[in-house]
Amino acid sequence: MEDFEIVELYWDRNEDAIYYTDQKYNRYCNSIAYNILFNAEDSRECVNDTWLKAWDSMPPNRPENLATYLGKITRNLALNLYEKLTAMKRGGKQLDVPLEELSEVIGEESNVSKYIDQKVLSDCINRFLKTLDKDTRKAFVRRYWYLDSVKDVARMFSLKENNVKVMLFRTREKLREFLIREGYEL
Amino acid sequence: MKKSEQLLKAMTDIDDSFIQEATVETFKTKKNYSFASLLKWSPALAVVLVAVLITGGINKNNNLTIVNPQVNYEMLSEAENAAGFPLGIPEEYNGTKYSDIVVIDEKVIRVTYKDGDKPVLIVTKGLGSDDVSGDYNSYPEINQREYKGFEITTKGKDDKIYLATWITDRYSFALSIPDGLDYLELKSLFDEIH
Repeated sequence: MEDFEIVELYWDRNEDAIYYTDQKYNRYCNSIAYNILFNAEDSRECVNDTWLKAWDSMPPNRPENLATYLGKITRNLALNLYEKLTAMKRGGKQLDVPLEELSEVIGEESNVSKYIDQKVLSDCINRFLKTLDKDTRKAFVRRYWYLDSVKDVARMFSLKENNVKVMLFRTREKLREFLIREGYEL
Repeated sequence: MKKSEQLLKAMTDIDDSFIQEATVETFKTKKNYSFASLLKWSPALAVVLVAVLITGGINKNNNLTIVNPQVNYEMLSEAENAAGFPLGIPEEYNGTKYSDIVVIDEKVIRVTYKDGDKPVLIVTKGLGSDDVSGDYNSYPEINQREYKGFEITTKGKDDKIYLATWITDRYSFALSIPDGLDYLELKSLFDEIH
């Protein structure tokens, strides 16, 4: 079923919308959640919550790209659950490495008074990503949006892990410089 | 929240086009073909071309093909083939047979024994030394015990063991026992797996 047809089912409040969404996007959303949570049950919970949020949000939303719309919901839910599990000391350490890498960009402190407006930061990241060549951007997104391991990113690009590490390191440096130019205090 | 966590979260709302651009299906495998090897495929290619011309072209839909980290199998032997290593497990545990057989990320096999819908034993084996249990609960009683040359970490409470993990030179193992068991029973289970 095409995405626009699935979206129409949501708008018609037809519960088949959930069935077709699950059929088409279960693997995609599960993969996103699993890369963050590394736990099958928690990932399933996130995916099920994604369908609920999708049901609650359409209408009024009518996403042009259903896949990324759902993917973003799942990513947010998984990160929130990861945060909660970590606070309860129940989470694993699977995000430690990408977070450490990103702390090179933006710093580590957890000073509440320096809360960063996420929408503004997202816009800034978008502008930065536009400056990159396609392959570098794809690698960056695979690593920091899909949260693939460096090994998996290397496999996708048929590159050696070290090459990917260097590529990502340089891109993080560029992002840091970009954020400084945009006025962020890092 | 740390700034790095804020940055990670802010990444969520990047443009849809960048997320779509990086889906798995956009990665093509790079292969070098010699002319001779292409000639070998030319009859097959001709058939495909004719089929495409008859059907009016390839139907592009919006299906995203993302590698599923988990694949279910009916037979243990299929899972072993997929993961590339064997998993020795008892046919039965406490009167229950194993049912759910899953391969995760092509390198971890997980088998669940169930009593109805209730899991009674989960056996996991994976390549490498990472924790494959998927169990991030906190347990008040954590012990390291040596048994038959292996160092087994057991976790539980009130003298019951709910999780046991150990590694060999190639593999990592985990036993999850939702109802718990004592060390003697664990040793017996360990013997059936090794």
